[in-house]
Amino acid sequence: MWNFKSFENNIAIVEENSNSVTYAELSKLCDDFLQHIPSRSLVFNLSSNCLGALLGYVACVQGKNVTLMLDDHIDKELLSHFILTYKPDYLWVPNNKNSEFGGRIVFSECEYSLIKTSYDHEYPLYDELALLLTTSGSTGSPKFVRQSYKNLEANTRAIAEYLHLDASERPITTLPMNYTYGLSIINSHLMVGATILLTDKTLMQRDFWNFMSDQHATSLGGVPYTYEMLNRLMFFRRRLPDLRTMTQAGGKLLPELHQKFAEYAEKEGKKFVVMYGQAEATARMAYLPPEMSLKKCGSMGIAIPGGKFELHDENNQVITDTETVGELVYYGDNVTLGYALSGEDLAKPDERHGVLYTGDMAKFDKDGYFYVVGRKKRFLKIFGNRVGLDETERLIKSKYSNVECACSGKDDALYVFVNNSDLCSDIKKYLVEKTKLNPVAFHVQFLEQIPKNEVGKTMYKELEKFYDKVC
Amino acid sequence: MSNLEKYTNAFVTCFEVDEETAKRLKYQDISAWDSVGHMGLIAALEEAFDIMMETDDIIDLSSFEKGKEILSKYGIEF
Amino acid sequence: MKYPLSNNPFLSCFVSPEISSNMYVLIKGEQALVIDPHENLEMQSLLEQNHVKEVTVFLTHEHPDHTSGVPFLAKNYQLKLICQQKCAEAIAEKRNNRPIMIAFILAIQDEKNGTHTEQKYLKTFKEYVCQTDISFDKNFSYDWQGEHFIFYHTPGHSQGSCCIMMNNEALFTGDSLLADYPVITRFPGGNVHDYKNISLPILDSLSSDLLVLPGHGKSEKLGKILKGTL
Repeated sequence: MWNFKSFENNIAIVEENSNSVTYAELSKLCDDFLQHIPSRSLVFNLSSNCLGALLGYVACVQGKNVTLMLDDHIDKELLSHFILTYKPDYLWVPNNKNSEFGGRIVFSECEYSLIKTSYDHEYPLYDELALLLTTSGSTGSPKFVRQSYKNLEANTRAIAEYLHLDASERPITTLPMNYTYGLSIINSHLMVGATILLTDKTLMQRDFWNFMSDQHATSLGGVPYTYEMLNRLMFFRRRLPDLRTMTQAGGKLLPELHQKFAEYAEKEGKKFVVMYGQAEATARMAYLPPEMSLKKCGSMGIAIPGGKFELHDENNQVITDTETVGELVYYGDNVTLGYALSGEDLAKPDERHGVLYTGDMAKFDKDGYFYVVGRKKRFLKIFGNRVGLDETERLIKSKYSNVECACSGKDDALYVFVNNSDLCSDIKKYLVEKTKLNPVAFHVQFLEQIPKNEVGKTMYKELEKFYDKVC
Repeated sequence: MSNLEKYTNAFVTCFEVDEETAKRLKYQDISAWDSVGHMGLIAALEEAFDIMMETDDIIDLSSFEKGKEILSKYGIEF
Repeated sequence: MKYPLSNNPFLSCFVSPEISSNMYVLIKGEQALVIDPHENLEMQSLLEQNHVKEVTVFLTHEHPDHTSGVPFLAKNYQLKLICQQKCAEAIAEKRNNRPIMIAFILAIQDEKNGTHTEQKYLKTFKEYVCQTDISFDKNFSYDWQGEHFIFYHTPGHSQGSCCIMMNNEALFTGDSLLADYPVITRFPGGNVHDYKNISLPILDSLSSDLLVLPGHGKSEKLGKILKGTL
């Protein structure tokens, strides 16, 4: 996908400890890696924002291996479950974790080890399959999105094009690399020979800001929670002369915040680019051109180059009127192959054929700009992570089998109602532990009687009036 | 001063009204008795009677009459 | 000056949900400086992520919506509290730390919206007193981690109110000067004459380029706010 040869002497990656590699050096490291692994192997990458993890990812893409991206802090039980489900040939893990796994270490570089497992190509891999990324991985289901080489390349090119990226860019990472948005930032900048400032510090940490100014970062990306934190971190009063672009995706930003950042960008001659996408569409489907950021506040913009949107009504007919809500449907080469729920699914071909029913309800205005109105099914975005409400209920039930619970909520606020007041705080702790999400997102409340209809189905709409009430 | 006199005096001083008006006063009847003014009234009553009121009572004290009922909980007889 | 805050102090601002008071946090190494603390999960997270061990607290005044976070900080960190004398005297007594105003405002909202936020708030509230380590009368100068602070006693909104200048760049004014609202002197302990005759002249004497970081609402240059006030 990438052409490192054309950028040989450009610096590809800089880490906080000032460790850096050029594109030529990165290329050589990839070649070394690939000596130790046959093509079309399935590799689990336990990643964090460091050179080792990035090397494993890049090498596998270049070498036509299939990578399943995971967070290196993943819950042990969940990881075992994934290993049993997909039977990977190799694991690429940080050195300090390699004693936790059986198997043989066949290669080691940048503080990561390549471990050969006892499995040997247990499941056939579809030829075009390149990457497996989680969608609601944090709630425990083994569901991954199957992305192809064509998907990756098409989306990466489109992103580099609409953001006008070039080799002078120096993005600083703010999101994990196993997350579709974080990964797309890496993919698109490697394509243009830019320099990636790689850190796993969060912007709540001083060191992040020191790194950002020492290395003259030119862009940063964030989910809605990132922008709320930037607001609290007195971002608008900071001197950031090198910063050119801020991008936002992973959920809809509060209109007041969108306005605040758009105004800041206009005043300071910077760009604020709101975007829309899903792992099911590789990463991006739409973007709001920065010059329209203020005028079209609240919009997620227009389709990326090479993509197309349609709105369908309940009868699947195309909507042609403005300001009419329908399901958002996307067409493009970045529409992924489908899901994988088991090892057998890895052999499946393209099930979507370039058409994606996004599951979001939207409308467009007279200028053709789209606005997301709500989500079709029971999913929320919690700080940029997609969380399944039904899956969360299942997660709770799997440990607390006697409790009745119901989950509902809105982005960044998941309400859990349980009929046992003594268990409320335990359940919250358990959810935080299992999902690794920020505790502020969970509101666990006691409700004596979960509202149900005559066939015993939970009436989720009825729960709304109980949000944050003492019952 | 009798308790009733102390009590009425607090209203008269805080809200700058005469005794007759004070006796019929309810929260937000006059601009002086807004949320800020309310804090002043409570402070004056607490000082006059040397008591520390419960937050629920502070919130419920919505009129001159109601206030008398509430203060009786603190052993103040009118 | 376009950017009145140099990037040296890593500064953040957290707003409390009930009454929108601003808490400011500076972090340097394993030390944090918190101005007008309230309890806040994100602030806790910020302190944890930066491995903070010691916390210094400055109070702009004694009202509970600006001091309610002190017990939490005192419990979990080595704490040093600095404020004006009258403020120190007030916060040493339980009765002055009752969140009456907050509860009252929540109760009013509840009546309008049919919610129970006031009940919920009071359920979690615990009584507290604060112990002051350093108090001052009229003026005070203090260096924290290389940042230079000057305190000015500015009574009027409350008896123990002060304004705190940082490095000749910023001014933490508490409720003694706000960009969005006029200053309230009608609270118990407030004094409109003190405000006009003592505090306003002090504020007027300071550099108009100072960035005012108030106890409620947005930040703004001192000169701009005073133009509207005087």
